[in-house]
Amino acid sequence: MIKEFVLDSLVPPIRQDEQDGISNEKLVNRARGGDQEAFSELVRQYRAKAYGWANSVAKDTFLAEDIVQDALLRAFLKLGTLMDSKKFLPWLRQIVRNEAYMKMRRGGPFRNEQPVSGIQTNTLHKDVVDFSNIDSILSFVAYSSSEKARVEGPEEHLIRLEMMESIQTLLHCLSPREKKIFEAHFFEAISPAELASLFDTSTANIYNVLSRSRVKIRKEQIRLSIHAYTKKRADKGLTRKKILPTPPTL
Amino acid sequence: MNIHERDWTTTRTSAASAIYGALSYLDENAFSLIDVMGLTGHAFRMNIDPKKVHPAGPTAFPGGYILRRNLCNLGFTSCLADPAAPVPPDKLQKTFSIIQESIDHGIPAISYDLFSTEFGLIYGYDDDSQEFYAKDPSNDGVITYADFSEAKGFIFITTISEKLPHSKYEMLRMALDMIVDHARGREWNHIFNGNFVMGLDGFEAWIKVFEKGTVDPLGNAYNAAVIADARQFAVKFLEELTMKWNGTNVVERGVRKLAGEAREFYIVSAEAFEQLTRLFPFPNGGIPNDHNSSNKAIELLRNAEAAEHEGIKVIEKLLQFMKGYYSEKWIY
Repeated sequence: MIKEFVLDSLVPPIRQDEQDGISNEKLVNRARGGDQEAFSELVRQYRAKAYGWANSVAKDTFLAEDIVQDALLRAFLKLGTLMDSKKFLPWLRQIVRNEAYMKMRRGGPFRNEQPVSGIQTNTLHKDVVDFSNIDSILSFVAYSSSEKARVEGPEEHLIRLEMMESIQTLLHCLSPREKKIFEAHFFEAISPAELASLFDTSTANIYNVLSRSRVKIRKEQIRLSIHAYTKKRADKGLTRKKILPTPPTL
Repeated sequence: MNIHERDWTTTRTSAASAIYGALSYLDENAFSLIDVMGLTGHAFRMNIDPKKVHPAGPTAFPGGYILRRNLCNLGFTSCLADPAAPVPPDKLQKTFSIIQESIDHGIPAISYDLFSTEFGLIYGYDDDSQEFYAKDPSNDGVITYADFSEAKGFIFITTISEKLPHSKYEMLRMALDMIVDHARGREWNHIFNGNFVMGLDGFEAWIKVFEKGTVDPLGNAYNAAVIADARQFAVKFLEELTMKWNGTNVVERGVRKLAGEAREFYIVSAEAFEQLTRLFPFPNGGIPNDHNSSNKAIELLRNAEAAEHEGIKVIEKLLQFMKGYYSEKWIY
């Protein structure tokens, strides 16, 4: 029933002139509450944008159309997990881009080639869902930060990029499921309670996963840091090994 | 343990044995463990948990502050790394650096909580296998860089930098200053938020725990064992002052006389603690909350307390004397 509705709502032509009038935030709030008319209105407003995002990844008109349809369906189903209604637009953009990357990987026009420069494809999962794709999420975050950079100055931009880069490296130590949950919580600020329903488990389990993931990530960070340190010493040609005589009885 | 037959090269105060162990790598090490125990003040310490006499008491002091001052008393500058966990990568790398620099210079790094919650030494490293070679009272073995980095609470490293010797007079004055500050509860330890009672007040705190019947058998036995061992070093240290310092001038004679007086009081204290360890042997600890045992323990602690109150008065007198030598002849 919902699916039919969403697809129906996609049929009307894009009417960007309707964007003014009702405040977006109110619309998002109403849509989150299950108001189909409000969601329909949002779709009308953002369909063009969504199409643009999809096409920038797919570079193919028909594929982009497919991507947008599926992404909007996904968005409607998951609207309840959006914490902050002000973040609707970036949230939607991420869903569209994820959907786009997913479709590309499943055999878009480029088949097995890497279609988007800078997008890592070494973490493919068959059952990939919205929040599973750290690379696309990170691309998104990096992208938004590059937009932000224009307003907030290059320093924050750099820090943010560095942070994202290091997180990206570290998350490889998590299992696919841990990764999904960690990303959803970390990047989307989705509460453990909401994650519990999303991942069909208990809130306590989500807390465990998050806490275990943090420990794993911290260990991974230490491991990489030690590796970098010993490599730096090796590059400098410093002593690799020195053992003094065993100390007296302590 | 008979004070005349004991081994003076080992102690239960791991901070002092780690310092002594590190100093033993120096080409010219003038310090015996007796000197180290005395001149660092460790022979005179007492730090009691007033709830149940927790085993953490003897090592519950700000390590960086105390060890820095300990090494300072002995005439060395030092480096300290005590970043809180989780340790950020840059601080971790700097910590590794000072450990390796020290070992490269031939001196182990002093650390804490390597294999047990005591002080120990890191005496080797291997970047290829990513392992430190370490020893503490419980073990001698390797610790991976990763395990070392996964510290509980914080990482602790003190390394000995340079020798900056000062006279034996100054050394003794600095030591007495630390001993008195500790005994009178003036030592800087606010990081423990009053969870431990230091110095002479520790006796009353300990006695109250016995009166309440909430003594932790292991903690009680461990505190008794550490302090009994330490006070024997205190007696020996004071005894050596009376023998090694000669009678050539007023200061030498003053030190000999007052150290000898103080020694008498610490003999009483050392004997009381020795009996306490027999009542509550470490590690099994006996039955401290049994009525008879606790009465006996309280009696022994009161004996030691009375003796140490007098002992500290003499040591304070010695400190005053070392701060401003008395006139050799005074005609009035």
